[in-house]
Amino acid sequence: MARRGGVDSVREFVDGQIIVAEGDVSNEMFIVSSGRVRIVKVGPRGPVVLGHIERGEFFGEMALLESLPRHAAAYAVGATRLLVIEPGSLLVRIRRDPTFALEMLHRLSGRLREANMRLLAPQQTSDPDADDTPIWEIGRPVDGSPP
Amino acid sequence: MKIDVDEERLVVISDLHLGNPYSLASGKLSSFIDYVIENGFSLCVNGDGLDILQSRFRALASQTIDVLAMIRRLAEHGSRVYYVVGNHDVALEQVLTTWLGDHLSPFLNVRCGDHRIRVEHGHVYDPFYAASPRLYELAGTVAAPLLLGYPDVYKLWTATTRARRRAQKVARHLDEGETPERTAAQMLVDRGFDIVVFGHTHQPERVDLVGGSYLNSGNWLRDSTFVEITHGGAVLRDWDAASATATAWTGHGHR
Repeated sequence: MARRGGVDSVREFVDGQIIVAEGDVSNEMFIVSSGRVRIVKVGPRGPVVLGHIERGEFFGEMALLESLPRHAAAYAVGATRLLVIEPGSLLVRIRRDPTFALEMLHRLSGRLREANMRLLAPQQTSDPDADDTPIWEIGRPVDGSPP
Repeated sequence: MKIDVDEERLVVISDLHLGNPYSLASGKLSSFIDYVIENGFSLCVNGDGLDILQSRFRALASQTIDVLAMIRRLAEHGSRVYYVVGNHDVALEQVLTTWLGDHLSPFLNVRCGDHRIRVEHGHVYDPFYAASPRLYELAGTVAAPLLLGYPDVYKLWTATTRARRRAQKVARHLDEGETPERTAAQMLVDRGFDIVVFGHTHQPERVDLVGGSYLNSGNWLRDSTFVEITHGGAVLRDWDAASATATAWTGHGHR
């Protein structure tokens, strides 16, 4: 692992190599410098590919920002080089590369909008069995107490 | 705000400083727009297209009308116009938004074939601007009267900056070729861009980096250099308004 510019470190992976496993407790985020990353989550019927992260995109920000276990696993597709951003170096990265913060917000905003659309979709159908729980109540325990 | 765009053919110009009484840009733009249309390019103004800091209202108003006409002409021929905000036109952002909608951006991530290209004005990497945007703005406003005596005064500013950086490098034993812009460009290449295009310095240059390249589109205040982006990559070119031709840029600055 090499460190560039005293801030970010660089990690290289071969095709198929695991980058992070689902449930891992680690708090770095990654920027794909070259190559590609496959995101996989184990569902009730086995592993499901959630998507791919392309060159220039980032992943793992939930673990960095919220210190939560990894929501899904990530695997290298082809030879892959990642910039690794740790919590302590994030502010330095943003100071040196302020557009990175804007790109992060832009992507997170897009993901939030997509999540909202998915939550709203059942309410817009005429299916009588569709879940009509308002989105602000999702996550509230069954007994009605505050989440 | 649109920051991710796909373009097959794009030209990037910067630092026109329209409204500045010594900007030569408006006289050269018309033939250049013909070139853009005839060759099926889209156009990106990479910051400081208009100049609110060192402008005279009459010049700014009349040249703004020219720019609107130019945008309309390009749109009529199917060319897209993007405007990246710089430090001399950031105060006009609201006005520009009404003309350009979501084609006004703080930077652009352009996908052209297999290339990922960052187009950005680059002022946020200027140590003086980053340290104190207000002081930088004040210095620009104070310097405006100097244009009366010597329109190329910005070249003195650039030369002074370079001399100061050179002295700092000697004192700190740093690489002669390392500048804040090149360091920033390398940082962007490291996070997945093939090519980085800045403006701001007014100095056209092309530099090979580790894993990519950096180009500066120069300026149209006194010169007329631009970056041409196609599937083959990005090249720096010079516009000759008299003969209405684009030639390969042969100036100094290539490393």
